[in-house]
Amino acid sequence: MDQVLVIGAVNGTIYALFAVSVALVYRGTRTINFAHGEVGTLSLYIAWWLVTDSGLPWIAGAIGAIAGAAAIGVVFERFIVRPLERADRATVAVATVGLLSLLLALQLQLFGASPRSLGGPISGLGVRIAGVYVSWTQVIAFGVVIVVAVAVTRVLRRTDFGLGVLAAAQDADAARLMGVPVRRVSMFVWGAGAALAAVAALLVVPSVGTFAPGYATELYLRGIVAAVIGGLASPLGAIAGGYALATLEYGTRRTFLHSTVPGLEYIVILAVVLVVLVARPTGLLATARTRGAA
Amino acid sequence: MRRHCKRALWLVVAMAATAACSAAPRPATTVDAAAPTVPDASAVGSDASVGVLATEVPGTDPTAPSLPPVPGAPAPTLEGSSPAAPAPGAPPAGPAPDGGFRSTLYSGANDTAGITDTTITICAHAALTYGAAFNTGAEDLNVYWTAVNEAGGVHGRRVEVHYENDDYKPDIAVQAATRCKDEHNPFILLGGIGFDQIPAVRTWAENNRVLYIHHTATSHGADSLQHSWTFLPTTERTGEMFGRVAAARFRDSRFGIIKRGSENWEPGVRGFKAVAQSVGIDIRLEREVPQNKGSYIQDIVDLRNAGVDTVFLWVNALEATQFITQAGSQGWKPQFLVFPFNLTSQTLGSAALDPPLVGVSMHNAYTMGDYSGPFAAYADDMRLFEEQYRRYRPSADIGGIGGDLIFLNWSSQKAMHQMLLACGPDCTRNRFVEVMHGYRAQPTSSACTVDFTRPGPGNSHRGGWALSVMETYSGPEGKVSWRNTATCVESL
Repeated sequence: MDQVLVIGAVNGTIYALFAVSVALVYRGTRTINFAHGEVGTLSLYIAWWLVTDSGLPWIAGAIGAIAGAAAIGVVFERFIVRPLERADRATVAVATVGLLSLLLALQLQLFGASPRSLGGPISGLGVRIAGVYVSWTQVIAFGVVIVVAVAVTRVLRRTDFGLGVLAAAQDADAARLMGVPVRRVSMFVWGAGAALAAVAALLVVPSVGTFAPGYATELYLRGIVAAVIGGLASPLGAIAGGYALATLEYGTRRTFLHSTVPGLEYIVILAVVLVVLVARPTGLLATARTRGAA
Repeated sequence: MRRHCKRALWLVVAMAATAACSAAPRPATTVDAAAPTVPDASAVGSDASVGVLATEVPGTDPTAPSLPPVPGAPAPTLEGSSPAAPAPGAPPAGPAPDGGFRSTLYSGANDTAGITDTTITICAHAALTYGAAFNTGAEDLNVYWTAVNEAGGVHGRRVEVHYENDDYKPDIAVQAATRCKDEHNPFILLGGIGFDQIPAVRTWAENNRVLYIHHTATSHGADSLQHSWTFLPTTERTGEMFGRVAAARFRDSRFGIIKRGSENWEPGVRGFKAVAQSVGIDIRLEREVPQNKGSYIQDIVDLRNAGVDTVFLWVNALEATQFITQAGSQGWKPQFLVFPFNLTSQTLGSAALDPPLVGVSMHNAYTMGDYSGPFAAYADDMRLFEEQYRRYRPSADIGGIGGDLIFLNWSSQKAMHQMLLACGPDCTRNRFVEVMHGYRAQPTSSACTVDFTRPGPGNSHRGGWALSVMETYSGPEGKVSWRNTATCVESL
């Protein structure tokens, strides 16, 4: 049981990092950015180039990666999202699929598909808990995910700018009439969401070992599942969903250790997601406020 | 209800995104050369070798109309194979006037499809999307044919090869094969790496009467097929050889198995287990994983808890690399049995030596610049390969992570060249089939013997029986590479 919880926490942090960025973008734009994972992967290539190829310290690579990702988000907002201002949100979501393809092609063209390695900010095995080594990067990631979720929630709820983000997502015209700088808000959300994808990728890659084009998308899709379980419009709910998903995944696997049913844990996860969607479509931890946003 | 509909819409869009991410098809590529397969990052683990074909028997005239059997070998036979279905309107198959096998599989225009007085057209379905994983582009794979064409071609014919992207997916592979036929009408359809794609295309080739030569795949369901051939050992046989390695070297170990969840991969695991369990090897835990799982910490902890000290990784090279890396992060260094690729060893670096990885493959190891020890047996091929690349494609990174794949691809092209020469100036599809049916030889020093003469159901369409066992070592310039510990063996 101890190991289930520790591994649930380790893998849950991975899912939660992606889930919280899903929630931020969804809360601020009412759409899902399917290119999110690949924005993270491209940012890893930037970090790899700065750290491994150019010999800069890890932190410089991380800053470059986050800045690069934010720039991608801002440019995408300016040239794709903004012209689609009046379009249905599903149209914007489909546009992000186009961005996903573009980023994949860019990575293949610029860096090839060879696997690359990028270490974490601190090397070493880390701390041993219940027989499982939790690396220092994973410990940092755990802290980062909590801080980011609390910060995002507070900013959205307690600041004028955050309320402006929510208002713009609800009704852009009304928000504009109320003096909310809708375009600036939109640019911020897409840029911040992309930056978060970079943070997630940087903190996850030392756990996975290597990365290549397309690597983060699989994890990102789990982030979406986590966000759906916890609450698509709730950053804290999305994090809880991440930990719940990972614990459920490993708990099932551990319970049926010698099962011959392939992919049993995925069957269980699918069942849980379906139950959540039917019983509580806005997610398990969605509050009245976030339900409104969803 | 409205919200539910909205969720459903998101799910649909999510699926579209996933498809877009994994599919990303590329336009077809045409080159003036033949490369039977294109390396595939997602597949390399499984059907590791790109080599497809056999070539000359050393010491024989490669331009002879047919290849003689190895001295002392049994005469070519069709025993055990299903009789070929004659083409519509064609006379039934049977002995040729010279006593050899006579093929009537193809008739009329279908017999001479893709071959003219000036060109031989070949089309390959391959996972072009992932080709760059080995720092390798299609142009890097065509050096051998460039040299052949420059020297006058095959009986005066230039060899032209077209590639269609199968994106490492069975349904896309069938579409790629269809495009090959519709747009290029090739003499031979080549099937690139892909345990899952090849069975789908085999069925398609049967229905469309296309001469199909493919990479490694399961023998399940293939015994009665008439239009498909492979020069490589089957998935089952590869798994069995891993089992033999386990029995010979790790009999007292406690095994764990990490395997891809696919009915086309599973026969390899069954082959492994059949051999391993027959000698009493203790298999503690068997775990199926999806493709590109990412985090294996759960599996690693479970294997370690189960007391496993040797892990058979039946997953692709990228996944194996991640798995071994993550095991190291848990302070766990068991013995690994993996598909041997420089991609894995060079990416892992010194971690691939602690302890050395062990692998089984249908191709022989390649490390640029090392002609000693086990490499000496085929150093002539290695030197010729390096010379051609220096001349025609100096930018290809043959010393890097894709060097071994480029070499085995070159080796198989050399084999294909010999086979086409053996088919003679009047080559047709039927003639090519006849050449294959009687073939039993080591085509070139860097390839294992190919033998289509073994009795047994479907064996006249299967030429690969031998595999090489490898281990990682620190090669020239400190790069961790693979070298053979047993070359082209059927047992240990």
